[in-house]
Amino acid sequence: MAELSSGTLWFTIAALGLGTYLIRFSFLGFLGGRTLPPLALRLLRYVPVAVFPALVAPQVLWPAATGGEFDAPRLLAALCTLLVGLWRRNVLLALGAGLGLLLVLELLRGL
Amino acid sequence: MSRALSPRPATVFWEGVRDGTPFIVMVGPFALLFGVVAAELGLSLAETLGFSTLVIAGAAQFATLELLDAGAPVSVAVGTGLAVNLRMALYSASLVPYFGRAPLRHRAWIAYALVDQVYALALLRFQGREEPQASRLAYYAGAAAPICGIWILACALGSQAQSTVAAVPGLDFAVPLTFLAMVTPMLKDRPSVAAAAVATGLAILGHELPLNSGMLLAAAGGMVIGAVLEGRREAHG
Repeated sequence: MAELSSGTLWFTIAALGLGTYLIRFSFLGFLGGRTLPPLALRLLRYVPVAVFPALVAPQVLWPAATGGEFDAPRLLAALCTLLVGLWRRNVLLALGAGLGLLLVLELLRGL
Repeated sequence: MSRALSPRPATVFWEGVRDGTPFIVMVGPFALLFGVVAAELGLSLAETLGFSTLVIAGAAQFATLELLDAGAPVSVAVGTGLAVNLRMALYSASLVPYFGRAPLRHRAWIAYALVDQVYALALLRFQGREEPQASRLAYYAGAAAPICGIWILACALGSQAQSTVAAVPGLDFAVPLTFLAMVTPMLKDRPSVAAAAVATGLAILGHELPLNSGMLLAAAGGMVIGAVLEGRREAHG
């Protein structure tokens, strides 16, 4: 590390922690009991199905672990999780299938 | 649908714990990894614990540390971390229909524990299910306890036992797979599928945009498509 002082680190931690808390608190905290307009409610219903795929897609195609290089086992593991999840509608089963496949493929690669 | 008898909050709390506990297997390794990386970069146990208790946000913690390590100014490191966490404003807004009327002291801790996995579990439970607010609070607390707990604990463990952890293959990918797995049960109608597909496409197109803005634009695009298709479906009956 580029020789960071403990003071710099704690300043970073405090700023990131406070900022993150305010982001999380934002609507929940300041909007309170006021009702949201119907259009906003309709948009918000799609937060999870839009945010999680947007978060995951680049990580699947350009994984951090391979320094951003495309990696077939990780793509296959992601497809496996998606398909098992859509088929059985079971979060843990889908995750277990994907992680299991990735572990096997990683072990095969090591041979 | 009204229910004459609601289960006691204590019962619902344990349902939350039951649903949250398996995520130890996915959150734990990611947290261990953070502890390992932090220790390798020379952070003390106290500093690592500072990150994991005050920030509790894996991707942002990694991004901020990496930038500091690369010699970026603190303002850039913090700004990037916050940009990575901006999606949580959307989580916050989408919990308003469920918790907006809860007393401030409850909303304060709900916000603290609003991490991806807790949010997804809460929505999986709340969507399409009528239950009293006390039940929802209890469920949320139960789901958050193991997930936030293991995050803090495993960050500390990783920082102390760095050399023994780093070797298991594929663990880096547990978190993306978790998010994928959690989304699949929500893809139950055409607007949801379209929202996910559009968000995926836009995120891939925009993955090189600065400050995580590609992800945020992609999420916004997906939400708009979902809302538009839902509106059209209602208009056509």
